[in-house]
Amino acid sequence: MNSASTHFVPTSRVGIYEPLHQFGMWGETFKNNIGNGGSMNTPNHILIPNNQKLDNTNLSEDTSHGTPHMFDQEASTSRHPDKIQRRLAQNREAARKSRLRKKAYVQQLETSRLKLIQLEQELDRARQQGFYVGNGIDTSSLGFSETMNPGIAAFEMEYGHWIEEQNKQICELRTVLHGHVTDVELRSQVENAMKHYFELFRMKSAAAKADVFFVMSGMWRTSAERFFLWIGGFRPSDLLKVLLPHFDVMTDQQVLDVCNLRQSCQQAEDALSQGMEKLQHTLAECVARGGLGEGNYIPQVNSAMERLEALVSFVNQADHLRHETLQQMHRILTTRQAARGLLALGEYFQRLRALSSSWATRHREPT
Amino acid sequence: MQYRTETRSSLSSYNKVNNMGMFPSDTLARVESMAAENAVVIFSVSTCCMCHAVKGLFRGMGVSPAVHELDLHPYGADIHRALLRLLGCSNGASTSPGGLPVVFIGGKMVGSMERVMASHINGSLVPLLKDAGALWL
Repeated sequence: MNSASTHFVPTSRVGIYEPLHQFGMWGETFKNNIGNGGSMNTPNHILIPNNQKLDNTNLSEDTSHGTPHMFDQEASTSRHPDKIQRRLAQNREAARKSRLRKKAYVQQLETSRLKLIQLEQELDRARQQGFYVGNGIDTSSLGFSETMNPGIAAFEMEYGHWIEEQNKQICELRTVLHGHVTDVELRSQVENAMKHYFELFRMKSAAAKADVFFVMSGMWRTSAERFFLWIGGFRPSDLLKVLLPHFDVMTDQQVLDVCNLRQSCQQAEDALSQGMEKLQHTLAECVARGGLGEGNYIPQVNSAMERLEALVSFVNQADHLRHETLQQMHRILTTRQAARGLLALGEYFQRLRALSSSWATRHREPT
Repeated sequence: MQYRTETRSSLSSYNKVNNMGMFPSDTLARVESMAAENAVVIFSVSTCCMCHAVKGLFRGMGVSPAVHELDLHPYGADIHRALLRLLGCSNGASTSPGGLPVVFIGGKMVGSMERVMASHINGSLVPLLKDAGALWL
C-alpha cells in the first residue's frame, strides 16, 4: 500500500520488534500509518486468513509499526512534538479499532458455530423422518446431540427406520390395490401394516419409560404432525374421520358397528383427556405448594417427580386406545376395505410430513 | 342375589387354584360384598388421575358407579392388596402404578382401565352394562 512497507523485512508475526532493519527509515514510515497499531501488545493469533473485516494491508503495516515508534520518540521529540503526539493518538485509535474489529469477527464466528450445530441437528432429525438429505454432512461430528438418553437415542433411530418401512409399505399397498390381487395376498399386506403400527406402539412404550416428556412433546415427529398431537400421538377419533370417507360400500351391520366405534372411541378419548387435565392440576398444585418465593423447593420437586410417573401410564393408555381402535376397524372391515383404509391413513401422515417440510423451507424460496 | 353367586364362585375357584391360604378370608368377603352392592363398582384412590379418567368414562356413558376410595377407607390397604392379587393372575401386568382403578360390573371383575377401554372399543362393555342393569338402551 505504501512505499514505506517495502523497506522493511516482512515478518510473519505481528508486532515483532526489529530495530536493526528500520534504522534509517523512521522518518518515512509514519505517513500512512493509520489503521493499525497496538499490535506490539496483542498476541500473534490475530493472523486470520479470511478477513471480511480486517484489511490485509494493515497487517503488513503492523510489523513495521512498532519499531519506528520507538525511534521516533528518541530521535525527534525535541523537533516535532505536536506531530509526535498526533501520531501517537492516531496509533492508539488504530489499535482500538483493530481490537474492536477482532472482537466483532470472533463474535461472528461464535454465532456461525451455533448456527451450524443447530442446522446439523435439524438435518439429523429430517433425515430420520425420511427426507432425502445429502450424506456429505456428518451430523454427529460435533457431538452436540441433545439425545444423551440412550433409550431415546435408540428410539429416534428406530423411528427413522419405521418411517422408511412405512413408506415402503404404502407404496406396495398402492400398487397392489391398483392391480388385481387375491384377497389372500391382500390379507397378508394388511396384517403386515397392522403389525407395523403395533410395533410403533411398543417402541413408544419403551421410549416413554426412558423419557416420557420426550414422547409427549412429539419432537420425534414433524411439525405439522405435532400440531395434531394428543397424548404423544394421533387422536383415535381423528383417525376414524380420515378413514371413513374411503369406504364407499358398507353393509348395514358395518355402518352400525362403525357408528358404535366412533362413539366409544370418543368417550374413551374424553375420559383420558379428563384424566390428563386432573394430572395437570395436581402437578401444578404440587409444584406450587408451600409458598413461592422462599427459594427452597426440593420437597416440592421431589413430590412432583412421584406424580409424573402417572404420565407414563397415560401415554401407554393412549397408545392402547389407538391400538384397539385400529384393531376394531380391522374386525369391522373386509380385507379390501382394510387395505384401502390403511393406504389412506398412511398417505394422510405422509402428506402431513410433506407439509412440515414445505413449511420449513418456505423462506428459502427467492421472492 | 345373582351377583353374589357369580363372585363367590369365581373368587373361590381362584383360591383353590392358587393356594391363597394366607389370604385373609374376611378381606375377600369384604371385596365380594362391596363388588356386589352396585351394578358398577370402582375401587379407586382419590388422588389417582387414571381413576378420575375411568370415573369420567362411566359417567359420560350415563352410568353412575359406586366408588370406593381406598386411601380413605379404613381397610383400604388390605383391599388394595387383595385386588392386586386378583389382577395379577388375570392381567399379567397392571398398567397403572399401584394397580388401581379396578372395575367390577355385575359383581364380576372386569379389570383395570386398559381392560375397560378395550372392552368398550370392541363393543363388549355396553352389553355387559345392560345385563347388569346399569344402562337402559
